[in-house]
Amino acid sequence: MKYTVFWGCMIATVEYGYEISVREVFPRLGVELTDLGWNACCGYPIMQVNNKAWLYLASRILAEAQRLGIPLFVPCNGCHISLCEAQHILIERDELAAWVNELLKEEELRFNPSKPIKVLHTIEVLHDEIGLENLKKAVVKPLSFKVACHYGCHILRPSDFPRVDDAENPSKMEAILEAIGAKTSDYPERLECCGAGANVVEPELVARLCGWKLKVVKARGFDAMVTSCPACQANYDAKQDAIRQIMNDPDVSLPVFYLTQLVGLAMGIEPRKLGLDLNKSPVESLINL
Amino acid sequence: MLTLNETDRLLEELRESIATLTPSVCYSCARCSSGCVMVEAGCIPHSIIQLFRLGLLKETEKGLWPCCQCLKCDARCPQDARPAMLILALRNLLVARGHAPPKGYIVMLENIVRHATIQPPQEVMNKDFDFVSRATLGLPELGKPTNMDAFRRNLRKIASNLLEAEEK
Repeated sequence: MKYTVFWGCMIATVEYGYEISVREVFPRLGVELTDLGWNACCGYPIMQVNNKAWLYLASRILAEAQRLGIPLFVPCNGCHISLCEAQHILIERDELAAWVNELLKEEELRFNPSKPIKVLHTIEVLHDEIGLENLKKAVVKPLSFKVACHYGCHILRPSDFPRVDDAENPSKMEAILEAIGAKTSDYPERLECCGAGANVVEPELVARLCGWKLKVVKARGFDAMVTSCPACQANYDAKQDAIRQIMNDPDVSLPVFYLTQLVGLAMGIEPRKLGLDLNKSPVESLINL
Repeated sequence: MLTLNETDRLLEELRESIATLTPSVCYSCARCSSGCVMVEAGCIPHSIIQLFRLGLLKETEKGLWPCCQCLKCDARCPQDARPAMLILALRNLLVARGHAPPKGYIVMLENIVRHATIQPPQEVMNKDFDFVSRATLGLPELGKPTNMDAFRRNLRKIASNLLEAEEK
């Protein structure tokens, strides 16, 4: 299993716990990772104000990945939808592919719509590529706590092009958790959005939305939440202090992990090597840092 | 208020870059709005679709920007009317016609032009209250696009309505 990794903006500039845990865990599971060679925005954050700028930014990453000829591994949900959607559009719409290739000339890049590149997310690499059986074999310290899955919207929707799991009834994350010994279950709020896309406009409402889900998850008997997206993690993990102040509610307090951090813990990897000292939520209530 | 022909023409224009625009199939069941997490901020997807169909373009503006584009409405619509795509298209249209978008979008775009990412790598605090960076964490430098000049030129060309022609 060989992949080119595209890290995107959030993981590479602030959500280091995801990058650290991927770099630590994946090679031990037989995955060979090479960075893309440079890093640049996938365009998703500015799609809302200039759709063409998004398509240009996403296309140049796809073109570089095509040039390297190795499947792309994209750990961020936003980057994953961005690149999958751009590739879908470039294949369907000749005139847009021609437009983007004209711009890419100067960068000595070209996207070839007849040679689509595989774009995989963390959940796909763990569940579909490494596989649950191999994952189970790597477990030396099965997790003992009960974890609520938060998939993040953009790996599940929309349905115009293939996504990571079923939009209304996903199960891969739960299967991964069960493989590493953790307990999990469905809950009514499982697919509710963290609201990250509205942080630009409605930061307080987003904070309350996150606080609500964190409280609900705790009230339903979970010990922790797990994410696989840096935007969701930033909202649920890094902002708990701000959420408590905005909601004036000291009860908003829940350990929130990246999926790769939990897999690493079950493999017996030392917590700090998984970037767990960078989580802002009280992960130390469940693990020894 | 737009006439029906004008709304149709506008839809064609929007479809140039956003293919999946099908507001006319909406039968106002409101399944989109009943699951919308941003409804509290005034984003009511079925109402945006209806206002658009009535040609009341200006009236759609209020509910457009709070949408967090979680795409739940698009996924759950029994008619595949794609409210989230209409919101995306109308935001793009407003901006193309000279409306200022929320400031955060401009800041991100300017940062992309400057650093290639929405922000340069940040220092973060760990549980020992130490500030750590990519370097102190042992993470490699990821680098910028090989031809940053061409990258910047291209972005300035595409987003000329949002960016200064040259960096001051």
